[in-house]
Amino acid sequence: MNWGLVAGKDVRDSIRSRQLYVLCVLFGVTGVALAWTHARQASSGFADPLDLVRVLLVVATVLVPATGLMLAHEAIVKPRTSGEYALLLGLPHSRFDLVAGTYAGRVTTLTISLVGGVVATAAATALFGATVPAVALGEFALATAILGVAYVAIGIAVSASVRSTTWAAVCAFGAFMLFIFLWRLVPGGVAYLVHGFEVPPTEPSWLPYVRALSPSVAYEQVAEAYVLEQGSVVEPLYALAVLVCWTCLAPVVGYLRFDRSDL
Amino acid sequence: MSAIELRDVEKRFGDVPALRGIDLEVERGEVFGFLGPNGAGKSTTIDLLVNHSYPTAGTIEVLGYDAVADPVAIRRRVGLLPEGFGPLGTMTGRQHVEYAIAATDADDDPEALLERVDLLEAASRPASGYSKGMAQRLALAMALVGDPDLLVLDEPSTGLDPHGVRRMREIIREAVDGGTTVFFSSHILEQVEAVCDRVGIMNDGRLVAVDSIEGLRETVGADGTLRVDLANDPDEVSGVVERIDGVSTVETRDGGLTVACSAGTKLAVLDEIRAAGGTITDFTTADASLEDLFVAYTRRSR
Repeated sequence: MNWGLVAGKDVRDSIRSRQLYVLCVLFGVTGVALAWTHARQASSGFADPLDLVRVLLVVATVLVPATGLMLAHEAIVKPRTSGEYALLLGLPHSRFDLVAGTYAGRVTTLTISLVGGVVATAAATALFGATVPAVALGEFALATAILGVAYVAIGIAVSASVRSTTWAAVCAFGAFMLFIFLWRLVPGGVAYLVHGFEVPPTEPSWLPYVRALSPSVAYEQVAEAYVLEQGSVVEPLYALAVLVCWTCLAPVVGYLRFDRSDL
Repeated sequence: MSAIELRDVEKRFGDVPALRGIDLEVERGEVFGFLGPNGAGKSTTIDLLVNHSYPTAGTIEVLGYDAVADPVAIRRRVGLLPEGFGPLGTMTGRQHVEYAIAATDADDDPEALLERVDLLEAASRPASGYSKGMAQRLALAMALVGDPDLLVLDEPSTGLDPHGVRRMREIIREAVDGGTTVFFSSHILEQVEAVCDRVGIMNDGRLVAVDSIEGLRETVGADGTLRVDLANDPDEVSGVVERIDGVSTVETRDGGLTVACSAGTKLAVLDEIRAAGGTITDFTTADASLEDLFVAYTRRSR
């Protein structure tokens, strides 16, 4: 097992291609801009410290999945089609090394830039003279990192399963639309069908649990329960478990498909 | 234990058969040339050796390891120069070799390896900017890491200039002298002829011949050519020559005869020409080139 070498190479590639810096700047600038607006509102008495985290959560729900998928959807299919894997699989590497190492590398890149962004946000908030909600911000960083990892995982699964970068892009975009928007409608639609083409008078109790199978919905539940501490629709541990399952199972599916196929 | 052992190996891409039952054994320490026209299945076979792809049927053993069950053990002892490879991300030439050393857990000196393939002065540049020939030499340097027991080279001379081709040949010789088995594919016949102990000829997914070059010559009837210049009209004697046993074709050209015949009949041809009244002013003979053998085999199996 030699995946650490692949992971190290992946991170160094993202440094040399400036991808890591670009992401740090993206998250940093976004965070600082939000900190600035928040500090202005706070100074005129319209915002409490937790409001900063509320705004960050809204932005992160779209920005982090998009970044995770962007970072991962070509991570395997591109070196596979470019012939890089023909060279790497001439060395004592297994296909597992390639998938696990690339996953670990992309997760590292995303996490570093995400943490960098949150640190910049906290520093800017203090600099602009507002109270820094340090604990909530830390919890936000943790929850958001798991969300990011889940979407990197989905991107890796896509990348390991397809044979062209075009298909990878199509599937990644499809996954983004599905989990961020469409999935919220699916359980309701199923309830409608099950109830004989009528909207059920009360929402069935299983419905939020099916809805929370989307990593984005699960993230919102986790954030509400643990970061904002305002109670959630589903059991927060369930939502957390869903997120963690995505981070583990999606790459396994991708690996199994990649492992049994020709290069 | 042989270096490479293929038993009834078949490979289909969907409905398209690429290999239709290959049996092949390559002994340790030999240089085996793998010949065939484009699309014959050479690269497909090489991909199977290192488990870049899976066989549809049959078994593949490399250095005693099963290619499907134990590909990493094979990759550890094999140096591979694949076909159609690309550079590793943003790495420089030196970083490529360093990576190969780290992955193989070897203690080679990257500088020495780069020097060996004449790439030292370009070592600090990103390999993505290398020419085809430079990339080819870089991959060869990576393949040599860890002193492999078996070198598998897919069309190694692609993109190389004459100097590079000579260097490649020297490196193969050095490796063989050090006890390495070499398996390489090519469609350039002279190279195979120059370095190989045995050759296998692939055509249309089948291995149509495996033999030493002399053995192949004998099998094909070793149709060498005999060129005879005559003082008189060659048409007067061509009929006599055609009737000799062992002569396959006779052409009349430029005031002489070009006779394709087996090695043992050349003298008889000269005797018969003189007996028939021909006046020989000069003659030259040539053995069948590998190219002739190759054409004979790939045509015959069609």
